[in-house]
Amino acid sequence: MKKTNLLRVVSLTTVLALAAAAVSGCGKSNTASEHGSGVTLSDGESVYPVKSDDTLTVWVALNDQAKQNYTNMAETPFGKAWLEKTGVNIKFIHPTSGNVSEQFNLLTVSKDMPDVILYDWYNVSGGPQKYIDDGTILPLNDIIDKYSPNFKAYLEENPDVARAVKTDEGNYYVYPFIRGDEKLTVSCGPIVRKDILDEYGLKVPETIDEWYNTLKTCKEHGTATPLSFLFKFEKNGVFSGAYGCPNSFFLDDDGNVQYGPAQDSAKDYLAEMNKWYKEGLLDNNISSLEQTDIDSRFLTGDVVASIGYAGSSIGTYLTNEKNSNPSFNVEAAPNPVLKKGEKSDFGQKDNIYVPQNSAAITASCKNIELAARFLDYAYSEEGSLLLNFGIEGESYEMTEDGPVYTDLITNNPDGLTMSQALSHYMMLGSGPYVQNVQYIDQYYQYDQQKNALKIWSDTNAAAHKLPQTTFTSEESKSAATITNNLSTYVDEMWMKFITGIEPLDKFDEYQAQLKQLGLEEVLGYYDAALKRYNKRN
Amino acid sequence: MRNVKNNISKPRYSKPFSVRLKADFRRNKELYLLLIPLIAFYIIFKYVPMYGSVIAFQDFSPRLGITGSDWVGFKNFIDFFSDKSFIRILKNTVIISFSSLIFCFPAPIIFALLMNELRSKIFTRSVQTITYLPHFISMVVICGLIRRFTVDTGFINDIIAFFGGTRSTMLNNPKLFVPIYIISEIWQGLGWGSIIYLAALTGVDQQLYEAAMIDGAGRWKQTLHVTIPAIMPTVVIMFILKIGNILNVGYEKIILLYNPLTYETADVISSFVYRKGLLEQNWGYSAAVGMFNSVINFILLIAANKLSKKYTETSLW
Repeated sequence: MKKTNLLRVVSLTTVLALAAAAVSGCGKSNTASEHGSGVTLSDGESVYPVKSDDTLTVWVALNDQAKQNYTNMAETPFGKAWLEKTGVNIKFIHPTSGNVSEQFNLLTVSKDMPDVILYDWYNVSGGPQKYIDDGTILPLNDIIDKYSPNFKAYLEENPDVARAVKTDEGNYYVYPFIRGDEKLTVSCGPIVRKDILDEYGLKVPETIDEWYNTLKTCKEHGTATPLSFLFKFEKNGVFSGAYGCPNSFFLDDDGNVQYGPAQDSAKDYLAEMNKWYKEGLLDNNISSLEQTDIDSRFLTGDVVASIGYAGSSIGTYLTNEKNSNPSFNVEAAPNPVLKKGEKSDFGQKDNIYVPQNSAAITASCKNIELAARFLDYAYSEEGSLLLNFGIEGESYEMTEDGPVYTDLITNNPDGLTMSQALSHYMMLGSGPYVQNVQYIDQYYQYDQQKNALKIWSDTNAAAHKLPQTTFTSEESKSAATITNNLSTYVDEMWMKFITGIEPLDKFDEYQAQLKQLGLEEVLGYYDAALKRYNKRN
Repeated sequence: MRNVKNNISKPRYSKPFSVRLKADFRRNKELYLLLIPLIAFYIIFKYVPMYGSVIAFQDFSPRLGITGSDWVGFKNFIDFFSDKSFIRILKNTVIISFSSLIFCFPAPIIFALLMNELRSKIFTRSVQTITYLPHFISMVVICGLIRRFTVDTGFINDIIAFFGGTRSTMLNNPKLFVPIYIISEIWQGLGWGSIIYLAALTGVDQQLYEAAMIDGAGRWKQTLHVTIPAIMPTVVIMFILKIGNILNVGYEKIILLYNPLTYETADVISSFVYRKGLLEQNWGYSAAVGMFNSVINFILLIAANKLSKKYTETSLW
């Protein structure tokens, strides 16, 4: 009897203790956010470090490279310096990788969002204006005006950027990631195993015919799958671009919006790809590849041509093979064209404003001023150095030619690759700041990478790139449904045409089906959005 | 199991229900206490969220909530029925469901019967353990394995090539998607699914076997006339439950295995709901599709139960 009583007492106290902990836990977090002292500064100026006891929560995907050594951005040397310099307490929340967009979608449905969310706010379904209208994120115009003098000054100096980072209604919605120079807007394109081509006496191919012959020769020499690449790159129009039919919306020579897959020339493109596929030049698993499948075979020489990045493909390959296989060489090839001597109209090219990892302030934010001041720091001269180069004396030295990375970054004593080391000391990849062009010259350590940048930049892609137009809330729902239906259908049909499951005689039917899915309607939306974009001031 | 129906649907007690409940409660209050978490689970996770289904009739926006979003009547349903992919996903869902009913449902029963005939305890145990394993492996890993096995350089193709066939990545062939799905489903669920039948088998009265043996029945006849009738009620109950889930083809496995080449046979209602809801954030539309799915399942469940009651005298309620 005594035993049971004791048990009862113990379990009861445990329960009570747990409940009390839960209640007091909630209470604590509430008081902290509600009664924390605000920032006391007059509107115009910003003095860092800011004095505030408030803690902001920032939702941001942790860089994959940084993830190998750290679990939270606040633990990285960069994160520490960022918090110290700005004087703001930040709690970083990182989504698990792999399904960031699902987590984002669920996050924005909840009532209690983090104060700041770094995400691609431009491509969110419904468009950024919808998120402002729904009260998910705050329009930033007044906030920038009052609390973000650095960013405000940047926008005033760069009206083109200012036009791209707002909605048609004139609302700023993020602290954006900006490519500080045209040079930074190109990062990927076709790549070839130069050493293998040399061995077979081949030149780097320029035209589609040359590509065909090159791949064919490699095949004859026993290369298993000469060409293998992730098909999503055709959104940029690498091979399809040669035919003028990238798998996306683009501007034609007259400045009208067109849909690549609906062009008549797509038939020729698909016929050529089908030929490559049948002859075993194009990877027969093209519909279900992953980058790692390609990487490994590119290194072994089972694949001689692919599409990759100057950094994560060319750079990584060269570093990997430097010691084990000194003859290994990879070079960039120009985006292919049909006629020798022409320039491709397409190929990968970012807009100056890259929406990934741009920071929006949510409606749940308790201390808007603090969030604004914190984000504005990155656009100041000092902040820009921190986000691009890290900590002076540690990760970079200031020289006459500007900031230069130290050996800690370029030749890491612990054997970290440059991007791993960078990920500890800067906001690698993208983030709410202006990217400095001096970063890329140092990031691309190999000549092959620097050449790649030149070769891939030599296109007319800029003229055919759709600017960052936005749809109205009414347009966007129907536009999203139609574009999704279109792209699902196109992905499926292109694969079927290429693999020969559907004969190309069906191309007319396919074009008709695109019309049925609402192509005209969505082109109309794009047209209207483009007109509005051009009217923005 | 055979008595389920008798106990529940034909009460033979004389005292009123409330009195009986009180008496029973006094006698078994600990058991009722244990029941609380379970009931709470169903209320919190199964019943409370049901009110959210009303967003199927709304142009739902999460920030405005259920009270603030616009009502659109049956627009979402009409959009779904007139969607280009409606016929296709419905067809695929039905094909995959019925194939899994035909092939995946009997597999554990047959397996359990075979296990029951084994005499070596150690062998039985090890076979059971091995067949349970796939059930505990995460779906992502399972699908990774399936992809590796069926790729043109994978081991299944090695076997095909050994016998002179041509290598091909099987998951790129729309015709092979359903067989791969079903076969892997059997592999995953065989051991785990057989547990309930093995349990039922242990409950069979040994005297029946002795009697059958005396009557001259061999192993096969014993199985046919003693074992199978004995586990039949379990089989029927499991079958009815399965019918209730018939259109629920899980989206995880589908989206991990399909690619643009196999959309035509692989895209099902749940993967469609996933794309519309989580990726396109078309919440209302997605809810309407999900609701359509549930209603069909509900009707099938009731019909199956009715039929079963009529013909086999075993039923859920």
